Amino acid sequence: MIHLELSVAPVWSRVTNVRESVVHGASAIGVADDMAYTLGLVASELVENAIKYGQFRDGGPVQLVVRMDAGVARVVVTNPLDPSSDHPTRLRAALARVTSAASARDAYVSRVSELLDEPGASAAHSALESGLGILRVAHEAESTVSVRFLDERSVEVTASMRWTDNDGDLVA
Amino acid sequence: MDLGELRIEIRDIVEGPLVRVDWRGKGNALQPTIALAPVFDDVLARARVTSATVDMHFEELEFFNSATITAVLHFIRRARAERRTVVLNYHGGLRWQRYCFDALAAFEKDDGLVRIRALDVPATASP
Repeated sequence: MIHLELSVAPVWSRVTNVRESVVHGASAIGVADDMAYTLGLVASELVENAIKYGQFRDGGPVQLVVRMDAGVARVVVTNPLDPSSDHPTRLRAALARVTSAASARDAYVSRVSELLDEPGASAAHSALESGLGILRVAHEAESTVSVRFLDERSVEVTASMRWTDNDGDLVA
Repeated sequence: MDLGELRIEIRDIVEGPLVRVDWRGKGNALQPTIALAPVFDDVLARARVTSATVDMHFEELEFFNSATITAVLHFIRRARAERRTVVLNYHGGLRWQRYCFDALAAFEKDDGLVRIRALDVPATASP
């Protein structure tokens, strides 16, 4: 079993450190290159979302856990939440997109299509609020994404995926 | 051109003609559209002069976040509005690039304005 846990200050410049820590940490203990890269991508997209939309006025870092066991890899990100913000709605909407589409790829393509055709949307605004992060995690990592509201003031997002070696075979 | 950890090089290539845009490093900005706006303005301005195809190369890019992908999508939208052809070249041997760009292949239309091309070996520009 592999267990990696990080407390991340809610500062944008930390995201790159998180991704690189996950990729290098996983590689160092023998996780296949593609798998390590995927874990880093998932961690950075989820931590980005947490920093963008979390509520950190009362302190409290973003918590990241990467757990790998019996052929399953899980990336879990927890952050404080302002229940009156649109963060919960945004998360539920992204998940609904994935679950209502035939595949995560279809959900991703559908959102990309909207971004290509959005009339009059400000490029800066939609890059910040594109909603592509969760869809990308589901599609590119072939992961199942779930959300759990732990209490009124924090949310946990989990991406679960197959733990595979360089040949794509499951690591038991 | 230096955009934090992202490096973008723009070259005019007579043969084609092409405006070649090479992406290297990491695109991890919070608001990449702001940093990239002048880059994209420059690319389109150059392409207008010779009616060039915009030939983007991502093979040497190490990473980009979803906000940077969105910025690229907005560029494609602008280029399409001008009936400018954009070719997105990626490293077919890299899983993450395959997944990312393969999904964009859904937007290759009969008009040929967007083309997605998998390359096995990083391409080098014509001298």
